[in-house]
Parts: sequence; structure tokens; C-alpha cells
Amino acid sequence: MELENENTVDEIIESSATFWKKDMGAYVLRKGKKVLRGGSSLVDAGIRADDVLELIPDPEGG
Amino acid sequence: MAGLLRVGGEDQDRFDRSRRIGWLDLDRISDARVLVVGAGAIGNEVAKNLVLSGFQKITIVDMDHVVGSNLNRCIFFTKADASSRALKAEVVARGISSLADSVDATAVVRRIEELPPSVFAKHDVILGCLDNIAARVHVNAHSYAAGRVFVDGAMEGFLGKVTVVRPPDGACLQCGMNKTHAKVASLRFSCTGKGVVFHEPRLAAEITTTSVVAAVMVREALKVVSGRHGLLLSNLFYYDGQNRLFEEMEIPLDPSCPVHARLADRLQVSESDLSQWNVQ
Ligand SMILES: [Zn+2]
Repeated sequence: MELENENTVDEIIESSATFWKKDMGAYVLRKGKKVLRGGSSLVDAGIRADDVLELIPDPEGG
Repeated sequence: MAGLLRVGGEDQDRFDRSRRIGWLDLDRISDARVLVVGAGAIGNEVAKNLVLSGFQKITIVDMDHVVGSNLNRCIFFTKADASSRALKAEVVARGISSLADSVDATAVVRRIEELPPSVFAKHDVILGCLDNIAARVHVNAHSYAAGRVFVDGAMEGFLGKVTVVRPPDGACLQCGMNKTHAKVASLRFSCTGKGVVFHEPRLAAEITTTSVVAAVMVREALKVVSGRHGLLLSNLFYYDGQNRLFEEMEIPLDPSCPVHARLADRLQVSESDLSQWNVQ
């Protein structure tokens, strides 16, 4: 996906979950071992070109 | 005779093998009061692990009853419990009481949101075995405000997650949430005109992932009660059993998270703060 510096993590989660047709549910975006904050922009989160971000499901059941 | 060792005596001591783990403080473990919120699949496994690990004072909160589809992953539930719509908290309390005479189990058949906030401070550690985001947000906020470590477990299919929240420092569960969590939380509730109805999703669930999550949760509780905070997860354990992945991740503290903002202002948890999450 092409991302802009001002994109927020929330926006990226929503658009990537839609793009990859993910099931309805909660997701988080991680960079390496860190979970990224929903409200922060890519710049705020210190994300640079070529960084790899991963969308992972956040399980809800118990 | 006093002072003599009896050959084979250690084999009669229930906790002999536990004592061989040097840092486990079995006296503190047996004295600790543990709050288990939720008596579903994770709650069953957590309660069993707590008792076998030496915990004795255990409160179990759940308002639901047993159904047949619980039986693929809940050690204490039987077909007869499903037929009689037995209450989960009561069945689990009875089940763990049968594992050791010393167990002091209390079943509370209520929603956690209906209990006074003081219930959190009355326990030494809180174990979240919940099945929805809104209840997690509630328990997270109240545990944090009470200064109690909150260990939250969650699973779906072969995915599992354990989060350790350690007030007064560090991130909380809500710090790691985003708009997708708020959206899912809101979808679980609807107004019928006569009240609010909770829609329980039928999520994939099986025992092996449940066991992994519950084992990690109780091991973290053992560390908390034994005073070994330096050994605690920092702060998220993520498990993907299908793809052979076990990882420790970090949820950074979110300065805008309402849980921390509230503490900074020295305010009590208010219901309005939680309303966006549909916490009742
Ligand atoms: Zn927080």
C-alpha cells in the first residue's frame, strides 16, 4: 500500500483491513515489537520509507 | 519424631515440586486474593491453574450459564450443567473446590460492571477472562485506578494474547486500542427500546489455544504475587498457534489514553468516561 506521512495509524488499519478483505474485528498495526497508537500519524510514530508495518488481528474471545 | 526426615516425605507434599522453583513464594501465593473475571473457557483453565499452583482465595465473577457448545474447552462444565443451565461461576467455584480442600472459592453471579469499584482493591491481582472489549475496558480502568496488576487474556481460533497492565507506571490495555476496538465494542450492543442487548459473537475457539493463554496468565500472576515484577511480560504476549509464532510485544503508553489522563487529574473513574465504549 502507498502511505502518506500524515496518514494516521487508525486510517491505515481501516484501509488495509478493507483492502485485504479482512473479517470484521479489532486489529492493531505493529512495527517490529511495538504496537502503534491509533491516533498517531506515520511521522509522529517515527515511521520511515521502507519500514515494514504489519496488521495483526486482536482477538476478543475468552 | 521431631527432627527426623521421613524417607519419601517429599512425595507426600502437594507442593514439593513447586518449592523447587526458588522464586515462587508459596506462602504469599496461598494468602493472595485473586479476582477472576469471566468463567468461560479461559476462566475455567485459569481457575484450574490457580488452584494447582497454590492459590486458595479465588473470587469468580460471571453472570452467564453453561451451554453445550462450551464443552469442547471447559474442564469443569458437563453435559448435565448445560442441560440444567447451571451458572458458570458456581460450576467453576465447585470444580476448583474439589481440587484441594484448602480452596476458598467465591462465585459472584453478576456482571462485573454491576459490582462496586471497591471489589478491585480488595484483591491482589485481577485476571481478565472476558469475551468482549467493553468489559475489558471496564476492568482495565478500575484495576488501574485501584493500583492492581491486571492480566488480560484473549483468544480466537489459534490466536491468543495476554496483556499485563502494571499501574501506576506503564501502558494499560486501552493504550493499545484504536478505532477498530471502539467499532467492535459498539456493534456488540443494541438498544431494543426495553433496554440494551449484548450480542455475543460465536467466535472460533478450542482448548489448546485456551490452555496456552491461561497458562501464561497464571504464570504472570505467580510472578506478581511472588514479588517478581522484573520477570513480568512487558507487556504483551502474542501467540499464533497456526503459524508457529510466539512473541513478546510492547504497547507504549498513550498520553491521551483516558485511563492515565484521569489519574493525572486525580479523578475517580467515572461512568461517562467509559460511555464511548458502551460500558454499562
Ligand atoms: Zn492507557
